[in-house]
Amino acid sequence: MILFQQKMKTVIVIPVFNEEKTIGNVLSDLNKNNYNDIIVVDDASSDKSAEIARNYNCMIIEHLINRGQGAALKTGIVLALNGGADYIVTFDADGQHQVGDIKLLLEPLYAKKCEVTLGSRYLTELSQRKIPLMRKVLHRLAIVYTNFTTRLNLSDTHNGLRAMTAVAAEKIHFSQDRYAHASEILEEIAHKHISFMEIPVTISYTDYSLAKGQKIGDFIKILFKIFVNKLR
Amino acid sequence: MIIKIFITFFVVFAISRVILRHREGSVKKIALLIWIFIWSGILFFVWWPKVSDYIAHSVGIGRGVDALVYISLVALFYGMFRIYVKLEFVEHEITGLVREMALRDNNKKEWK
Repeated sequence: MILFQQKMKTVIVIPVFNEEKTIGNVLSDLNKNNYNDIIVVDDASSDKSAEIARNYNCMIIEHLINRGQGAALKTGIVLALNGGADYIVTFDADGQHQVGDIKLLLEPLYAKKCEVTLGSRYLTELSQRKIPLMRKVLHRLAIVYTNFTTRLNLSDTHNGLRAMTAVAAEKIHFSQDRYAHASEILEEIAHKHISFMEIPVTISYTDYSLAKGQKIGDFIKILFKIFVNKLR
Repeated sequence: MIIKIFITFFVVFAISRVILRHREGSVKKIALLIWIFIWSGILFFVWWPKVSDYIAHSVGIGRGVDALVYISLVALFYGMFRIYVKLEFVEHEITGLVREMALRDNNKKEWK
């Protein structure tokens, strides 16, 4: 078993790949807000991400070679479950997510209203949405596709900010190593009839996060991967 | 005629490679037989192309060579797909291994 010094309850899992510019601020914000049960999965970063993360209250687990965001997320979730987490929050390392939104995602879980909460950038008030046009187009394509395949009615499908109970995390099996894991998680939620709620969250776009984010080519790759996965 | 001899040499070379791999144990007997059948078939149609014309006519294709090109294309695409699927499988296996190693390493760590 994993040696945890403190009893884990709500664990925040952060997949990291070359995020030295933002990881420090993200962890600092989380620690300041009393989130100290954090698992940082360093997906074989070639920069100083892991070194910087060591300055904060968190557990760092390292992949020997880069396996992708989905793979890193799964490693973190497995570790959290092994450590006895009751609730798991997935959080991005690029500084796009707001620490204040974590509470909003956890409240319905604590109140046992549902098993999974999904952050949605399209449920916030229009004035607060500052989403670049190209991103909106990509999101729209992903939303139409996912809603069609899962029969869910979601307003956002590729948002890395989500929370789940340990029971739900055990039920959700995803095997896509790269970006396609987000669609796979939603398919699992639909197929296994896991109760969920969409929660409005704010995403702050910066030049940095936009440069690192998904492109139209990634969307095509995601579709292809999902297609091949179904034929296997 | 030169091309026929050239292809014959190549086919003999290809079959010898498959036999060698089979002796090494990296190619199963069934795969060996399939490869010998495919290469022998190619050799057969190279030396007796009229037979391919006859088969092509019977399925509604004008020339035997055209039929061979169509079949080859389909087979190549299928082969590519199989390789892609296999590659995906290997990728997943690697991920599983990397995860297992990361989690094992973590047994030695403690919360900061």
